[in-house]
Amino acid sequence: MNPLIEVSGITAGYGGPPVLRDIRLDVAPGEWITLLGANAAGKTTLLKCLIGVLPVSGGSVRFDGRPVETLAPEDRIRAGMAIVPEDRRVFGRMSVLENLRLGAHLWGGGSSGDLDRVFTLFPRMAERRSQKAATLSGGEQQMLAIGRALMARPKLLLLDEPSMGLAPKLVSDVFALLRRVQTEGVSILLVEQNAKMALAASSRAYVLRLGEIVLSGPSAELAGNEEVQRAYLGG
Amino acid sequence: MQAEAFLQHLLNGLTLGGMFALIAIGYTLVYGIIELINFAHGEIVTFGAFVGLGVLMAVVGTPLAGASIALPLAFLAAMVVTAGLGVTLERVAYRPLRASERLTALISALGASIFLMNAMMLAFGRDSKPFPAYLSGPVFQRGDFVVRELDVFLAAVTLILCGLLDQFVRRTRLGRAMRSVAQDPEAARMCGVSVNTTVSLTFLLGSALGAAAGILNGLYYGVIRFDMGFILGIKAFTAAVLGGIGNVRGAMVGGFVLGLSESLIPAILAAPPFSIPEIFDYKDAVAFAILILVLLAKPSGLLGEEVPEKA
Repeated sequence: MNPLIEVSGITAGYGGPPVLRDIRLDVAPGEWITLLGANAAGKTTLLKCLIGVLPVSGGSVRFDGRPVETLAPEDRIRAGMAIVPEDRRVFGRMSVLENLRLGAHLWGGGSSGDLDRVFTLFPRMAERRSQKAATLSGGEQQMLAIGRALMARPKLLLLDEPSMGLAPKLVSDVFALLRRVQTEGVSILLVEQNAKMALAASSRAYVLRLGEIVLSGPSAELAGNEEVQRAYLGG
Repeated sequence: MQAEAFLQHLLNGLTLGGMFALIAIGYTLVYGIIELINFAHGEIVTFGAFVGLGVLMAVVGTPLAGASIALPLAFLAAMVVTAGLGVTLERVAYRPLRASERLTALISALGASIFLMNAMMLAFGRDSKPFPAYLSGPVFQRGDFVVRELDVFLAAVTLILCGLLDQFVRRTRLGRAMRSVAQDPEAARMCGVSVNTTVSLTFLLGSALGAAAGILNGLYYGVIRFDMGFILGIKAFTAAVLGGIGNVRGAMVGGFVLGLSESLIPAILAAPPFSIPEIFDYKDAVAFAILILVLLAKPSGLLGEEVPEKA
């Protein structure tokens, strides 16, 4: 099957030395891919390049059969990408409902069907729909950020450390939710430091170190890899 | 002070405040989105007044000259054309500098202000231009207190425009996009909001309201001049800061607070027991003294939120 997204040799940075060098990865339709990396490995930079808020300085990205590396974020989102950014980045001074509607900004603010889908996944969001996002707990804000991304009707969901700062119970809730989203046919590219659960949930994984992919393969294999165990699994 | 005189000053303060409010919205919208003080906004207001004047002069002697046709026509034309100028200004003078330091864009704004003022001086002349009188009949009179049709019209236009803008920003999809860019531009882009479109929309709205305020100003004082936007702009900017810069309702409140204080405080100080008639010469100083006092007590403005400085 052709990959849904295919990243071929992209290089990117913030003006200084490149933060990402020659990144290659792909995600098949319906697949869950994990990208492991320590702090400052370039994980967030990579996701920003994929969604288009940061330009790449080289390489190409094909999404759903066409090149997207020069497209604006709104065009990539229209094509079927959505992102759950690092630190959630919900709009604190807006209500839960407004945050969700912003997720569907390109679809006229979303249909009631879009909202129902999110409210079914997150009944909490339905209860708090008129509450300001800043008043939600960290876990609820994470759910809102995921809900907001789903409102964009994505084929590929990019997630930047959704387990960060959450209690273990909430982390397993997030993973259970993502599995449900995956069964609805959404592909997942998950960036994580929480390697154990991420590897268990995904079919394949990549390891990013200092801006380069240093390892890749089936998740089960990587989970047994000595280096991965030492660096990410505390073994 | 006699009751009638007080009412008259109150009415003047409200009309003046309405104009300040409409202009202040333009400053606050732009600041809220791109953290730029658009110094050229005063000139945008002046330009709108001249476009309105052009329309009113063009219809003189035609069947369209009646207030019920000429005024809506003048407002519509001025708001549309001036919105175009505002959007162009952003494209030419601010957008290319969006990624540079804030000070650079600020200097560009000063340059744009000087450029536009001088361009208007060349185009329209150095002298004050008389503005045709409309709606000068009284609707209510008691002693010295007169409410003219124009006062009612001014209040109505101000309230309608402020109300429409407020609802637009709060309730519509594009208004929501504007607020998202104001809160977190990158997160807004990650939701598919185009920052360029949003910024253009912001200039469009602010300039259209500014044009309306320019015509109101012309109707109210009976004359307009190429440089009238300077002091009007400074006052309205003061109103925006007073209300909490970046906050739309704050700009409205700030406009009215400033208009009322500028009108009422000198009037009160000039009457017994204070009896300082010279105070009228210092009414601008009174306005700015209010600003300083409010900011000392509440640095973020009357309705401003205490938000940490953005990185």
